[in-house]
Amino acid sequence: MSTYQPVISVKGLTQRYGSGRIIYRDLSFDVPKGRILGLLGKNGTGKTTTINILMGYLRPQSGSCEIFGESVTAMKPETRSRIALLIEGHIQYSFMTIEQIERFYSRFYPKWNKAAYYELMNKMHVSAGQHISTMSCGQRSQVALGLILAQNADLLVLDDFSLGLDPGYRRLFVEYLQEYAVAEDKTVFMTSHIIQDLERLIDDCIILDYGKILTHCSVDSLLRDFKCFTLSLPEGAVTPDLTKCESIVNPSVVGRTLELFTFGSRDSVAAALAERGLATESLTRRQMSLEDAFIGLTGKY
Amino acid sequence: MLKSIILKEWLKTRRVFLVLLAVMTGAAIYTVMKINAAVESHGIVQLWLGMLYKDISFTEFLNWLPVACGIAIGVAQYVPEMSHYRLKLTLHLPIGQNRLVGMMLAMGVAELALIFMIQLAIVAVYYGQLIHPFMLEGVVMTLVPRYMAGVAAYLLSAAIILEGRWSRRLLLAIISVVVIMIFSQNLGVICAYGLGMTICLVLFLLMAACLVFGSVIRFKEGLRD
Repeated sequence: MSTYQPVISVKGLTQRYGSGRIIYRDLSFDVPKGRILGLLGKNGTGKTTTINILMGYLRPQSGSCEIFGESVTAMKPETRSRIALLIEGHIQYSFMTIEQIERFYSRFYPKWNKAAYYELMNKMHVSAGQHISTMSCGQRSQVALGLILAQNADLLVLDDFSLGLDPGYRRLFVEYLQEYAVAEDKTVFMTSHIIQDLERLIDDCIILDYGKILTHCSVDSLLRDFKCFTLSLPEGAVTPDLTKCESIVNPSVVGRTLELFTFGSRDSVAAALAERGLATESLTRRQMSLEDAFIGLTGKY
Repeated sequence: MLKSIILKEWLKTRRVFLVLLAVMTGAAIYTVMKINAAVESHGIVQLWLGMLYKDISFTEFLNWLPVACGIAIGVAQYVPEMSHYRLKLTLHLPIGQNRLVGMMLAMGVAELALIFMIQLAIVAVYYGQLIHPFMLEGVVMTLVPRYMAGVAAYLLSAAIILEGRWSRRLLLAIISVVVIMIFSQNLGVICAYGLGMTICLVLFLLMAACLVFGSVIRFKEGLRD
């Protein structure tokens, strides 16, 4: 008998904006232990809503969520102590100083690692008595990260960690987090609107579109199975309507180049194009980053 | 954990607390000087007669200050929690929700109680040298409901600030005005509130505290504008 129990289990989640537009319907996914999962989607697809539901700050209209086998609507304090939470914008108690906030949190968490926090703080060249409210967004992100590392939680939930950070701080955040999560076998559930940061970090991704999950798979398999092809169109050629071709996703023409995405093979794409009267000699597969794959799946607009 | 909660609440409220402590102490000293001036110009007998037959307590100046204190502490303590929805961080702490909210409220009430007790002590000690103990009891029983109004104002401010929906905030504000009016009627009348009425005021305070817990529950359900 299998004893597999996911760290996060979401079943049949449906949520609307008030009584209006549906955010998603019947959303289900699991996050296994030790995996780093990125929840990706355009603005308004429900990433932060999902985190709010998971953390018990929003009651879903239907469906259930469990973390460590416990319903999120009635989570015990002991279970909450196993979860480190980063709120969008690296929000912390800005009226505290670096020293006070460490002292504040340390009393709540039995596995608190003070050294991990101060290791990060020492890199910033800020004094222990500096108020968080006087820090830059980048510095505040390091305080938030330091607190997460010090908490030594089993699950890290990070809502848009890249918001407001310049590339240097984003890189620093990703590198620290990756090293920590892999070395300590932590489970991470995160969102970010800057996909390129996540490519180096996440094992699995869920790509959300308005109302549904487009794909849930490992990043490796997405970049292996989802392909981008380009085709040079002859001058004066009429652009074919490929929107009704099921195997082709989000085709677009920029200048004289047709770009299309597919989970199918090169042959199936070539056949579909030939069927519409296009010469396929110049059909070329283009290497994709995770960001390219994301745009390929969700479209540019 | 309790130490941490006390630290957090103190860091938010300490400036306002110290200002209010200075203002309320100053108000008590001003009241004492007023009584002193009345005794020097009219004599102690006139003071007694005024208190016994005209309900003059010389504490009218203190009528609305406790309510202002309650609102100020409430704003200082709970606005930072709702700014950027920092309350999410607080509610994520590994401690029971009701216990957590109870500790936060207890801290605010304790700060108010300290301010009020210092003011009451200054007035009562000075009055105690001039008037009979039963009259002093009357002065104290005149001031206590005003301090209770201050605590009610604090609890209701907390409920309003922690509430996520403006329509509900408006409803709570109307309830608050009514409750504060009940607490504040008969201002200046010595010993206007008997034991029965004082028990009613305590029940109103408990109701106000329940409204705070209700606002937090609604916040957790995502009922926010």
